[in-house]
Amino acid sequence: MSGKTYILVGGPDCGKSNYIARLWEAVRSKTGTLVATITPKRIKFVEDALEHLLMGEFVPRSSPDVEESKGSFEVSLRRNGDATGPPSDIIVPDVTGELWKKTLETSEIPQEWLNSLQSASGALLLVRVGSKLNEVALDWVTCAPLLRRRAKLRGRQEEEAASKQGKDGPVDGSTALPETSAGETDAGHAVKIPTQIALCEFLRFLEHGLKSEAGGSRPRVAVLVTAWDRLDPEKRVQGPMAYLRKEYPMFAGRLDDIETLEVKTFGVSVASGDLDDPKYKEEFYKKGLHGAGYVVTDEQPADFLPDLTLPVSWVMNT
Amino acid sequence: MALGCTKDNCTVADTGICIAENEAATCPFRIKTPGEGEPAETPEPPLSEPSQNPTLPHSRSLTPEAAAKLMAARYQTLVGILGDPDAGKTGALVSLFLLISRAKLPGYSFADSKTLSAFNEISQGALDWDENDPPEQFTQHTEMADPRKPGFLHLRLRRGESEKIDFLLPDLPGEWSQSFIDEDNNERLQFLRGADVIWIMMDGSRLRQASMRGHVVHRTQLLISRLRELIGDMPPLVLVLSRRDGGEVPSSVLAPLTEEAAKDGLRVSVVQIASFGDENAEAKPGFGIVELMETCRPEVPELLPTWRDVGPQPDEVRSMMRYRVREQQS
Repeated sequence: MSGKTYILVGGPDCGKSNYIARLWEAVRSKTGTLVATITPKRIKFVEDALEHLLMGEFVPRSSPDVEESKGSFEVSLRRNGDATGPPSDIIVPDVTGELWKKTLETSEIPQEWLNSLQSASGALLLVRVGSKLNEVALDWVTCAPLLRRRAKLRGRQEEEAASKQGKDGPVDGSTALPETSAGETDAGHAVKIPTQIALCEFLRFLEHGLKSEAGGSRPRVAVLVTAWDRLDPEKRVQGPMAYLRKEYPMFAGRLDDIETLEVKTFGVSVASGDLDDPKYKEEFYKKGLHGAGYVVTDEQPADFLPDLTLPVSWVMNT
Repeated sequence: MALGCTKDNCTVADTGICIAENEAATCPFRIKTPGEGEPAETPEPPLSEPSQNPTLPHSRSLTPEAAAKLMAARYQTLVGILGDPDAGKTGALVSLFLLISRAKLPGYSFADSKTLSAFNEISQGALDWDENDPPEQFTQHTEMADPRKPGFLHLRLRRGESEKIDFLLPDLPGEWSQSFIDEDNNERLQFLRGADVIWIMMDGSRLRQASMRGHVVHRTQLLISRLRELIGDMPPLVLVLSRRDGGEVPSSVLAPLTEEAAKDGLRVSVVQIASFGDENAEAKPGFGIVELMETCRPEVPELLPTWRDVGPQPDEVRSMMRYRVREQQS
């Protein structure tokens, strides 16, 4: 714990708002490994989110129209019981998942976010179980017609070019296809980014941007699989890495391969169950938010650990 | 706006009246000023650029320079991929990518790729690396795709439990192969001299047609000749027959090719692939792709003994050799 900052990233609907709200409650109430040193200056966003959870509702998705989202949140944390030493800050950059998605598509990143990234010593990367926005890997059924259409289009363009210029001059392959914007197929469809590719790309950005200590240990990235309670119990007991291997094999492969970052996977549930299910909601009201929520690790996949600050504490511990 | 004039004493600039009693607008002596639809004599200062966001490193195709950097850091298996347009080059790359994405390439799993967005876009039929981007996006790219340079895709795969192999795979337009054959246009194919293996894509559907196969085989023979002239010491060649889902190409069709290659001392193998097709067919989508990848293994050289045991020589001058400890004697 030495005055460093850590950032939280993830695509749309990754469970960021819910996790941050739940984390805020955990550090404020000083029930976990990490506690808030002082009440942060700007807590409107996280308080609004927490209100939903306390009422037994998941935080609704941030509006995609809000460019300058008020979702920026910073809190200073220290170890529970350790009053000495500089606190570390966890920062949720001022961006929605939609804006991160845009960065994926264009590689452009606003200066302030780049600054947050480059001054961070570690990160938490979130992906949600069962999110409707999760894009599955492409398959032949989708791709074959797209490629055939493209080949046809190229063929037609080449014929037109050949008949216009005759056979003189070398063909250099730069046939001009109809102009489309970056990220569009020739049929005008936006190129989809499968979730596992998005996750690999996020990891690449983190690899590029996170600060590493001179001669020190590698930056840590905690991968949080949120809404862990939505998985069947048989799948849950295999742990978060097994889930990633099954659902996002490319991303799991990358996590196994990466050497520049130290990575660890966690399963996280903010409320221990589905708040949209009226039956569970009743149960939830009985125990309250402080009695709900857990974290699982690959080492102990069957144990529901009640300390929601665990992933953050792991990222911060060097 | 001043209306200048080349004629001496003409005061049209001040009075608007032409000394030659011509209409100011049409008088031939008038100096044209920029405001009247004529091009300016000095160029206008460029518009200030709109403020730009910084960019993170992209994952589009690698330029040869970027590929060279990777090669300096770690051994890259460089695959040359040639063939006529529509022979199936891009299809094979897409099929490989889709198999890997779904963990369906037996014996291999994904470890990394520096060109994920290129793979993703190519899979969805989007722009190739060498198409020109619309002008307004020019300034976003630090390296503009150059139609004279090849673009490379990168893939690191784990083979088995622990072996990792990095592949560099070019996605070249078919026209480059045609131009190479027809005009010996090989400037941009120089990288082939460093290839570990060369895949020559051939359209299986055309090879299955009696009227077409002669031409396809002939063009491939020419391509191989060109390659030999370019490269000299040839790496292994793989004849990759696409569209296997439509049926198998009988080996007799390729006999003229393989026999000629064998006579010339070339190492040639044949793999039939189906990049796409029906899941229920005999040759499912991805058929042959793993065999294709297996052709890329860098050859392990034969293990030679460090000191060949020739026994003591009467005029042996290499004194150190006298002090070898022979295993039989110990």
